[in-house]
Amino acid sequence: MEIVFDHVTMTFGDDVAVKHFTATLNAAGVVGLIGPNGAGKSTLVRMLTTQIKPTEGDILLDGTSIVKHPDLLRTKLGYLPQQIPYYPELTARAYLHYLAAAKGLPRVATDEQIERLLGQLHLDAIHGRRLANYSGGMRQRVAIAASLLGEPQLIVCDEPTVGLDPIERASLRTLYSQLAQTRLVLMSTHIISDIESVANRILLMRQGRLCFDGKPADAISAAQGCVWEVAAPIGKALPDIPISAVKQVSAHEVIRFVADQPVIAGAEQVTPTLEDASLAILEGLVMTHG
Amino acid sequence: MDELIIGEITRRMRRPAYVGVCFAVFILTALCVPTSGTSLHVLAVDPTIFHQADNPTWISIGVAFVMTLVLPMIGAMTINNALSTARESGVLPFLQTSRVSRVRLLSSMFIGNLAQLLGLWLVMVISAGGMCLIRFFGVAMTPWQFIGPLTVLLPGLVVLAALALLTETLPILRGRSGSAFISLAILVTYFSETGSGRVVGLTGVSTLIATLNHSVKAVTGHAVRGVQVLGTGAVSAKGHRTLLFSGVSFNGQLWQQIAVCLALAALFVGLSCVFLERRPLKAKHRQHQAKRDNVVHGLIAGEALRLLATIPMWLKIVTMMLWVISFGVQWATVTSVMLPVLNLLAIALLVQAGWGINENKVADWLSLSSRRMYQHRSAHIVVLIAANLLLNLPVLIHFTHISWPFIIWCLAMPLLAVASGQIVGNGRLTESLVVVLWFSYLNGKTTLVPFTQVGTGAVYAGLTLIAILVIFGWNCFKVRRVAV
Repeated sequence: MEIVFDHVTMTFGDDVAVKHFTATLNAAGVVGLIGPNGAGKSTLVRMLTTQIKPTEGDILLDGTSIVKHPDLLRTKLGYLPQQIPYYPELTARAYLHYLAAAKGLPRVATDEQIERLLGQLHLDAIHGRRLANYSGGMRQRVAIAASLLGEPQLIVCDEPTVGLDPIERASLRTLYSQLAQTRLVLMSTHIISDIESVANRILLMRQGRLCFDGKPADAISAAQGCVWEVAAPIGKALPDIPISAVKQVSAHEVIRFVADQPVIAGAEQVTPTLEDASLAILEGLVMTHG
Repeated sequence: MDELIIGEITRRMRRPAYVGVCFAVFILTALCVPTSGTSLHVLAVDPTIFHQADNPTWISIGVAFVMTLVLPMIGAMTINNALSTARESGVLPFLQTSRVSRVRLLSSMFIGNLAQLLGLWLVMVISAGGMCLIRFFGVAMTPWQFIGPLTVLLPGLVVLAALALLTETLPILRGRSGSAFISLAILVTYFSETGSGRVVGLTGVSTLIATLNHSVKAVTGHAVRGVQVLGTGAVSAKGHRTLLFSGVSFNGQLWQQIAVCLALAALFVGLSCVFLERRPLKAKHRQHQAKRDNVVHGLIAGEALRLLATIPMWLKIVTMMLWVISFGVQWATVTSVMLPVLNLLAIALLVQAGWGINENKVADWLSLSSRRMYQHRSAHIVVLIAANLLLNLPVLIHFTHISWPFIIWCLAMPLLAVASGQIVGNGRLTESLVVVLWFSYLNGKTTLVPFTQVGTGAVYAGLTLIAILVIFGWNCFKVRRVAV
């Protein structure tokens, strides 16, 4: 399966949400779509999932336009939207059966898959409760199960870890890693730690444009020499620099920042993480393109 | 049964509001049982000839006569959000990212609508049956005499289930106007079938009239001479003959009506499949309002701006133009045309009353502080009352002295809308009631709007008080329920 974004542009009135986005996704694995809020990730996901048509450009699935033929992609897609869709009156099992029937999935195979997903996502003990009585995290797990119905070849998740506790997040990462062995998983998120350990490739977006396309390791090596740490007294005024982390250590705080020079006296160069690298790329300190 | 249909039926039946509606239908049916010797009579048939409501066959035909209008109205309010809840919950947009059969999806929704309506119909049958036992225990009647008149509602309910779906898919009707359209369609169909005698047979009332005539003819040899449904006043008790209503006879015309209803339902479902959006609908951006970035100070001004923002610009312009014109026309034109038209246009505002604020859980957040909540609710009411008084100013200025009944009516309408919106949690009940009010007004029941009638004004004053109690007492009830 090969998905090609060919100069995809989306505008809403005067606002340009996505501008000339070009990329090719063709191998199984987890692809992280990263960017700050408002970078255009959700718009790109909505175009890929055939919810909206791009204003310009095209998205091709194995050479055929899914803008013109959306059903081609819909048969292969498992989608986890940002806003969890659910009917509060139904139980998890009834809801999953409802969706499976709506998608026209074969009954016997679906029954088996639903039971497996309920177990895999730790929903089997609570499946008899109505979704209205579920916590946000539980509903998120039901939505994940819904997105995996019918063994889709392409899984697109928009902010999949919202509302999940740390254990659930780790378990979700494992699940997506397993799925990505034979499928393409596109995870859109602004929480870089969610994809740091699982993504084979990252697409970094800023103001609607693709500003990095490559392996996480490439991003990290590109950011070498741009990440610094300095210990400063609490409350000390700092220059206007992109700070990636602040850690409080007894009477002072350790500030981690990205810059091409050690702009604070006493700053020491440190090894970048993917989060540092992303910040450096988004701030324009690293001019690289995959 | 298909999992899709099971899911649809389950999610509808489990809605708490549906249980409430079933209860309301049960009570309403019990109230619709014909009685004799009371000032309010559900059904009076040639009272100079027949003894009124003296046998159980009167119960099912009396209930059927009223419910051919009332049940579809209640049913329409209940089912007319099947697709919109699927849209709002994100389930429909989610399904649209996979290859879903529109026919299967909408057929299951149609069956869900139908199941809800049949549930209400069944409640009506049970209530009517219970009343037969209470009122005429031991008096014999055939099962068909009891159930026959009630079955005439069924074909109309099938059409209604499909029409509700169509109004939710047709771009022009899928917004707020859908409920008003259905209410109007039910009223027009019902009264056209009772009035002209030309039988389309959607509501079933024409079949009931035929049954009534047939039953009267069997006793007197001539057709019925005087029938009153839901009338008031003294009814002559001279009649001593017993009128037994026969069950509905299934003749060719009735089968034809049923066939027409089924064909219409199939057509509406088919059209719904055509008109259902292929991609998720865009969220309505009101950019022009957002761009203006109006900063308002004060709760009342803020609330006024919020409510105004919910009305489309074209509607605001049309209303404003008609309102200005109303000042320059004669009293007769104002009362016969301008008043109903302006108030019908104002439905867009009234349907927001009492619930619109909680679309984004703002009211829930405000309710964390009771003071803020009451302040906001008061501002909401003040704005609606001011808007209604302003809207009806062209009428008010025509009075030579202050018309208290009309002013009370102007106060009552927004307050009742707020109360109904608060209880039901949406604007559909308000919408239907306002449509019924103005439909009746345009069809001669002008006393429903009291220009000078003190009696009607007093009724509205009573309703106003009840509405105020509901508006400010409802949250205490809700808070207590949560605490329990």
